[in-house]
Amino acid sequence: MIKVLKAGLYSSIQDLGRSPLQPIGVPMGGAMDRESALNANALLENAPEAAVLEITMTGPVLAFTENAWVAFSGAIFPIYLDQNKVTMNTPLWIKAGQELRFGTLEKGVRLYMAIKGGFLSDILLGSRSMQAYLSPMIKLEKGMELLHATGEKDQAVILEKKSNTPLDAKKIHAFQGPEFRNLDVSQQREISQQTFQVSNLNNRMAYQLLPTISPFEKSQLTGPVLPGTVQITPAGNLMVLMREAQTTGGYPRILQLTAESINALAQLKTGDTFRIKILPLN
Amino acid sequence: MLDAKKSKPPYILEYHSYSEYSLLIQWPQIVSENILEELSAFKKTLQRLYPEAILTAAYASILLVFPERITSFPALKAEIKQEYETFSENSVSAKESEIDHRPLSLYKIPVCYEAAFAPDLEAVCTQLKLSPEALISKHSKATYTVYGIGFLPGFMYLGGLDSELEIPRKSSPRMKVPAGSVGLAAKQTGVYPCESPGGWQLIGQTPIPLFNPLQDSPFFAEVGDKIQFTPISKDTYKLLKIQVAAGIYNIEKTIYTQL
Repeated sequence: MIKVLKAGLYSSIQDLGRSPLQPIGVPMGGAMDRESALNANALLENAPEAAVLEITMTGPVLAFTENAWVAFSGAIFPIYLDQNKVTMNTPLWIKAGQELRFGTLEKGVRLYMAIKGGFLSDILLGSRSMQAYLSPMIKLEKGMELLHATGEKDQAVILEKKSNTPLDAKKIHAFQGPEFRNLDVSQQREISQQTFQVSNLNNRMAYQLLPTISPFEKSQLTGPVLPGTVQITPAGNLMVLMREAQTTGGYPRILQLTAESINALAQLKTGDTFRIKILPLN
Repeated sequence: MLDAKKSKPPYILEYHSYSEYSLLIQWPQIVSENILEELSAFKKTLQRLYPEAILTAAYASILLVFPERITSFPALKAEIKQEYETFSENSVSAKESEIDHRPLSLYKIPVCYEAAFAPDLEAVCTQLKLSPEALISKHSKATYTVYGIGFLPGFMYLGGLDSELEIPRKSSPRMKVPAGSVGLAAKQTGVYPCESPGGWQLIGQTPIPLFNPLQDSPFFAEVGDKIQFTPISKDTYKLLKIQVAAGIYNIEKTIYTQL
């Protein structure tokens, strides 16, 4: 197992989430930057749905009580195994008794740590993802013990591969949402021409953007939404729904981020700026 | 959002390419039992046609999410359009026979409206100029329709509220609404399946857990189903709590026959 000596800001166990349960109101959940989580698993030849650790902004301190293969992908932190700095994006052998710690975040926001065979936390509704209003724990706490498959020394191939998710995206790509056409032309132009910023209201449920655009007060019948759906509030706030967003919404859905751009946005933090490019979807 | 109970099928559906993996089908965007009923039936047809897709319905929309990227939206839209035409023709002919009166599930949820479980009941009664007895009677006599499930796992948006019970949300939401709380908000009523922040006016509480993440089928209802609330005393509330804890309580399900 792994003992959590320090929790860090917000680390949680994540896999690919609970998409089959959206019809009964369960958020999809899962890794925010799915591509980096998948890459970390692929480096260890894990199944794509193996549970990984999602580390946000500041890392935990982890003590290993058993041998294990791990791999890191996503945001860049200096990572230390005992006193030695280790390499990301390739398998790393950790021996029982060693400790992992993380330095100051250098680039991106979310780092994924996969472990050979995956974390073995409880499965709830088909997933090990920690999820608000569902899981008993939604993030790592000091003193927690994380179960994982036990490592064998021989790793057949030492792979090396970076995640495709950019850590400093300047362009976020999106399709027109169902209510995009209800915006007037000047609002549509604002979306394409404005430089947006991630506000301090950003978490696993949603990212609120700055600045606001012109108010949009048309009412709207509640309908389904997905991670990556951009809603506009009556005051003109743009809210990008992220992995833990609720499954239905009543605000107009003006954009839908591409799958890659959801991952890219998950690597942006408060104050980061970008522009939105609208792509056709046919 | 007008209630257009007279709107009749076949409707003109709109198809929107929602994401690389998903397609949104929209009926006319109004609150209508006819639309919801048709949508629920067509959803079953679509699920048979696309068993791999996840279909989320709410009010007048169905979102189909596929596990793989959609290779051709025009082809998918044409296929569903064709399917809807066949479906509409069949429903029109079904209307003339008895098949139309197909049964729906009706679930009865026990609710204690006593003061200890209803923090806003008194204020709501004052504002609506109703006695508590009148409010409880109006709330528990109606048959509600599940228009959507969202906000929280198992949170049902229930339509069919007596117009005399319409009241806005609280001006400032509560940080903690207890699990099982029954609330009012505008034209809707609903039950909080778990503790969460919330702004609905709380007029009662059910002792039964609506959403159980530890069970294989964690939730009982789906969009289109019917719900009724049965008033219970504080003593019955306690008794049901014990039955729930002992694992011997099952939610009451009957067949709802349309008139």
